[in-house]
Amino acid sequence: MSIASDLIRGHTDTIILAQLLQGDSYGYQINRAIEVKTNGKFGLKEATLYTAFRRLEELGWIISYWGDETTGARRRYYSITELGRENYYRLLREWELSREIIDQLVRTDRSL
Amino acid sequence: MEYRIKAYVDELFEKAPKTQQAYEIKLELVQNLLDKYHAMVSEGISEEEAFQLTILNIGDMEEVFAQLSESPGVFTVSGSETFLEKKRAALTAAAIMMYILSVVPLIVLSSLGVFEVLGVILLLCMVAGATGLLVYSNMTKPKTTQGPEAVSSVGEGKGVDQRKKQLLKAFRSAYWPLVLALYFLLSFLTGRWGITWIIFLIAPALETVLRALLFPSDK
Repeated sequence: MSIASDLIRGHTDTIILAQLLQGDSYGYQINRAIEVKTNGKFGLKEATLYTAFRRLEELGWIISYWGDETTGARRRYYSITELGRENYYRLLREWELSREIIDQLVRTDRSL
Repeated sequence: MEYRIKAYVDELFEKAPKTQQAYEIKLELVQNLLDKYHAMVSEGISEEEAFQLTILNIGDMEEVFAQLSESPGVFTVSGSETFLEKKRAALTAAAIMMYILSVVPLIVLSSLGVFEVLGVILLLCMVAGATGLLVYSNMTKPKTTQGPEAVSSVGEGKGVDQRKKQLLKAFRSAYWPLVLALYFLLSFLTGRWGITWIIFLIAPALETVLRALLFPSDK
């Protein structure tokens, strides 16, 4: 998993944006959704998650706001912006292109 | 066990920059970890194990701190900063408006020929209020223009310097409006407009003397 996660880390932004595309969410919920989606094979470390949040916020791709839960637990929610949406689709296209190229390059007749 | 999680995060954040942003991330992280912990406990994992698993995958917070000190005050801090700037601008504008309008009651009342003393009192009150606003807006200024990084790096000696600068700024901004107010006050009271302009000759000299007396170490 550790080797794979290095590769995946380069796509943290896309992964987070994909989650936010389905609606506003907060740190734990986003990470939980990622874990469930991958059957527990992948999860983001908190440090990675928050670095990405700040970076995306700085880029203006996401915005954050503090929710006001009555239970006392205040969570910071994230919401994708129009700019974030555009960039998500751009990143997705880039990934699909890269995957195609890598697929073509790493496979040989012998490994098929 | 919740206390243990909070204490653990406290320790992690000892090296964090002392900014609003870092504080908010800390709150966020604590809540995130508590959510994670409670979810595990409700799945039947023992408290101790859940705690260990919770803190296991936090990762390297240095990464986050490094990012924070790279771009100090970009989000929430900058938001409140522009808010403060707007507030200061509004205060200054209000103060100047009060200076200009302060002569109105006096003019109106003296042209009516009644309650001239009341006009003077109103003028003085408005000038005092306006000066107060200017001083206040200046005293609150330098702190926020430094940016969060500087807050932690300012030594004690520098702090005194800063305070002096603040006072000097406040003095500067209050002095000339007061001179102007005095000019109008004397002119209206005595009616000797031909002489009172001399105030503007005396004022600069007086300013230099006052500054030398009040802020001796200022170069």
